[in-house]
Amino acid sequence: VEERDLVRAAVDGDVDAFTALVDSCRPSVMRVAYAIADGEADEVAHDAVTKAYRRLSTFRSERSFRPWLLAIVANEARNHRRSFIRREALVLKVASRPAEAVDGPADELARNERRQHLLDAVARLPDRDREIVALRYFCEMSEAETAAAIGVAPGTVKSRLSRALVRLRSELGEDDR
Amino acid sequence: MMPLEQELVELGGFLDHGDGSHLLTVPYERTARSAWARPLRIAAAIVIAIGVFVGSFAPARRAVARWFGIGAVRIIPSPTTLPDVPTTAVPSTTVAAKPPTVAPDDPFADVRSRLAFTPVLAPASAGPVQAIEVDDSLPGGLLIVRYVRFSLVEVSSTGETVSYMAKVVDTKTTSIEDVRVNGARGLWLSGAPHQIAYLDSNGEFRADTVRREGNVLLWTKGLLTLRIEGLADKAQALAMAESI
Repeated sequence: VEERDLVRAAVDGDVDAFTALVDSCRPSVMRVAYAIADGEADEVAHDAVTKAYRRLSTFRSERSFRPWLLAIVANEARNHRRSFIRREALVLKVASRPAEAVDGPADELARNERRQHLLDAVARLPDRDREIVALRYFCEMSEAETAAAIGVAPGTVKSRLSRALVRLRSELGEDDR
Repeated sequence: MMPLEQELVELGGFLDHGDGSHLLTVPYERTARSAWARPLRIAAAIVIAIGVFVGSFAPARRAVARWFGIGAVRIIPSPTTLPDVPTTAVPSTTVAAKPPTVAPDDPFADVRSRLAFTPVLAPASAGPVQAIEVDDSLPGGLLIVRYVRFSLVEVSSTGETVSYMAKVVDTKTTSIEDVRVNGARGLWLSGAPHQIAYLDSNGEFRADTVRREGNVLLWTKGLLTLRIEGLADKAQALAMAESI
């Protein structure tokens, strides 16, 4: 079933279709919610999906569903982040943390350490940059999709990404490459 | 793509964000305790929940499952046995009951100002209105129009007056069937008696103990969510709904 058909069905009230659409975006939804809202992914993602469901009638079927949904998630996460003081550190999955890989190869430990350093650096990015990194890289959206999701010009995405990458390299103590 | 960009892409797969299994669920504990306490959340959706608040309504425990719904309606199926809610546990409605002296020309005359929506009536074939009740505790108001054979329940399903409602049935003994009402999607719930709970204007769950009358047809019409309760026959309920 094509996305367009699912969207049409969902707008018509077919919840199975809506569920299928959300399921197809689930990893991206969780990544954006997690990265922007400082770990409050469950609540943010749930609320965002609920809002998306209620806004289905405003969705234009010629657009792609995922950027539209992720824009709602990003907005919800942004609002959530502004509303709550409590912040949680972003962490890697338990299975990928060094403590779980004590018996594994040293290379794996190093890779995990590197990932956590990179994640920490992402967490220290300004909100707008972190948001754009989450959409562009964590969700593997194109620059155009990212731009559409946050409502800026593609050129703005490009410049912010460039700036974010410079910051990350600096945080990681690497030369600008 | 540069190496750092590739690392970032890979990093996305290592985030400890959970599996999102609750993405399409309604965690009642959080909903009742905090989220719905916010006015915007209260205004956000009508929720019809098929399932159970494990134990009771008031200290709503976490009962999550995949949700689906109709328009602004969400539904939570659960195989858990439905707990009994004492009929005296919570007052059900603020009643503007007028049985049996409802004015035939405009039965809504006394209650219209208490509703945030334009109420509708069943056709004349339903017989005379026996009573009209309004529950003011729901944002926008909830209207019950009682006929001899059934009750028509009306509540706003969009805008700022939307309330949050939970339909609770035991899915072991109640079947849920998709239907169409004038082309729009609806649900026919049949089988065991059901219970209804809702969040009032204070964000508190209240058990509605009035409408436990058996089979239910649920559908939306414009800005309203409607349900017919009490007609045992699906065909009759559908015919009635399509004439409203």
